[in-house]
Amino acid sequence: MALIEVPGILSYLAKGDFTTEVKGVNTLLPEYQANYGTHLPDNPIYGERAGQEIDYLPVMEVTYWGFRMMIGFGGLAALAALVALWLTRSGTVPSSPWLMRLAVLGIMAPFGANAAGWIFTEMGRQPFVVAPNPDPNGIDQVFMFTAAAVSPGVSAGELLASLITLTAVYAVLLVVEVKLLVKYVRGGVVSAMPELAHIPADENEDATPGPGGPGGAKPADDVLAFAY
Amino acid sequence: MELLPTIWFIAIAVLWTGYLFLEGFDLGVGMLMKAFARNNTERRVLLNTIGPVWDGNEVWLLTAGGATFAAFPLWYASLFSALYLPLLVVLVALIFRAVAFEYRGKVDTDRWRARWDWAIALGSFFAAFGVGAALALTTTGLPLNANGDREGGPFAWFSGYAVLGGLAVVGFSLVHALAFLALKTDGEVRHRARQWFVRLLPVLLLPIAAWALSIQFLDGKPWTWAAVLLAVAAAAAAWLLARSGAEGKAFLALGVFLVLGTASIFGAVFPVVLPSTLDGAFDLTISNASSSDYTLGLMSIVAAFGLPLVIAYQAWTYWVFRRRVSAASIPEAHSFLPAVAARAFTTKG
Repeated sequence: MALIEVPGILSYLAKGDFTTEVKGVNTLLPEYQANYGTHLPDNPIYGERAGQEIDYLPVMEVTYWGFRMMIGFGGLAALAALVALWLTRSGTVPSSPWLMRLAVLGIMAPFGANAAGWIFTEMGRQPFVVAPNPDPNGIDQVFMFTAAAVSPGVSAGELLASLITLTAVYAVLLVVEVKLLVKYVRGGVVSAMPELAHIPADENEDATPGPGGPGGAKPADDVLAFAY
Repeated sequence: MELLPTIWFIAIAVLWTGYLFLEGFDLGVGMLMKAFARNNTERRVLLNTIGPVWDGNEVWLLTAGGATFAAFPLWYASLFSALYLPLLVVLVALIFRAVAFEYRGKVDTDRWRARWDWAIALGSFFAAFGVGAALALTTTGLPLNANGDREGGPFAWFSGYAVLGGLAVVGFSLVHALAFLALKTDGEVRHRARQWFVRLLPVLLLPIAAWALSIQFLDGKPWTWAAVLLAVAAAAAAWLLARSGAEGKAFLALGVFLVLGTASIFGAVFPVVLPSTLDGAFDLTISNASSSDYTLGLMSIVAAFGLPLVIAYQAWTYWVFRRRVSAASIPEAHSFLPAVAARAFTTKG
């Protein structure tokens, strides 16, 4: 298998320059242990984890694939945009059903990239809730272990209740939102902007239909530019 | 006396007062969608009185919470962790209320509108009740241990004060909304709102008056007692002014009632920000719950520039939408046209 190496790109992604050495997990583990300790301090702020050994290794499967999914979905969205740009170059609207399906699927790509990237950074940051950010001169002591950020007075049951509730709320709203989107997309532009629809029979009676739709001619002193 | 924590305690009291003043009426209008409005046009009149301003009003809730987080992190941590489930209810209520405003008009059937009207009414009710309960409990106390953590499980916060505070904000929001509708609408809705205001004010302001008074009996100082008495006078003035038809002045008098009422409550508990019901030694105060002077100083500089800007653009919003809304200003229902009409349009165009 051939390995294609692009020099400097990882350094650019991590630090914004082309010379920084980006260290791997195996190099970082002993460095973290040396800088931030092998065990959590015996302090009550760490709750039942006080004094326990610190596992600096995040769930590698999640971070490895999370990063690749983020870049992959982002790349797909860009690629789909380029294809669409090329196919519409002469100002025509392509009639290929496959391109239309790709366009609809393309809506998902940025959301996929966002979700994957978010999970990747949040889980890759563990065991820190505020990751240490060492300056070139030494260790920046501004960091916080996740164990210290857990609210001691909040029970696991409460966390579970909120997780289930909010997931259910978003699921319900997702269904409503997608149904409305499909309905309005199928209806075309005039379904959302009825003022654009000229119904032939009405044309002679009402030459200037107002934004309120047929019969709703806009009074000169309209109070509401937009009405719920 | 510590200057910066005192300034930020006052700032947070001002933010909560601003929140109750502004969102008070839009939460109340939301609750009135079911109880007050008689048909779809009236519901849309109600909705359009708060349509351009409700989300700006809600920012005051975020800034009150955010300022507490930054200026008094221990107050924020203890209060929000202790009230985890009730605040979850508030959050869900605010989510459903907000989407209901947008979704209500998207499908032109009575069933669809009725469903989202309930979301608006119940969302507004639970948001107002929850915020009121949380505010009452931060003045009367929670079962906190030496570490500021809640003892006694997820429902340990429940007490008569939580119910009283909830009813206080619900009641005030309803009265405030009726005053707002009388000022902001025209025709039948305006007339009925003023009637309801005069009829319901004495009852609906009882819980908030009971809360302010019970705080005075617990921790009152001479000036906060005076503020309570002046607040009652302002409520009486609002009632008399509304009876004589001075809608704008009635609304302002009710605002004075709110400002004096919250000042009397926050002033009485000062310098305690969150008492512990287990042991007075565990009380959170402006000294032991505040951020460092460096943080507070920085926040003061940011607020000195940011706050006038926010107040200016929000005032401008109200100026832009200053006209009264009536049934005549509501266009026909935004009915959905099927794709057939759409095709007729595109082939024609």
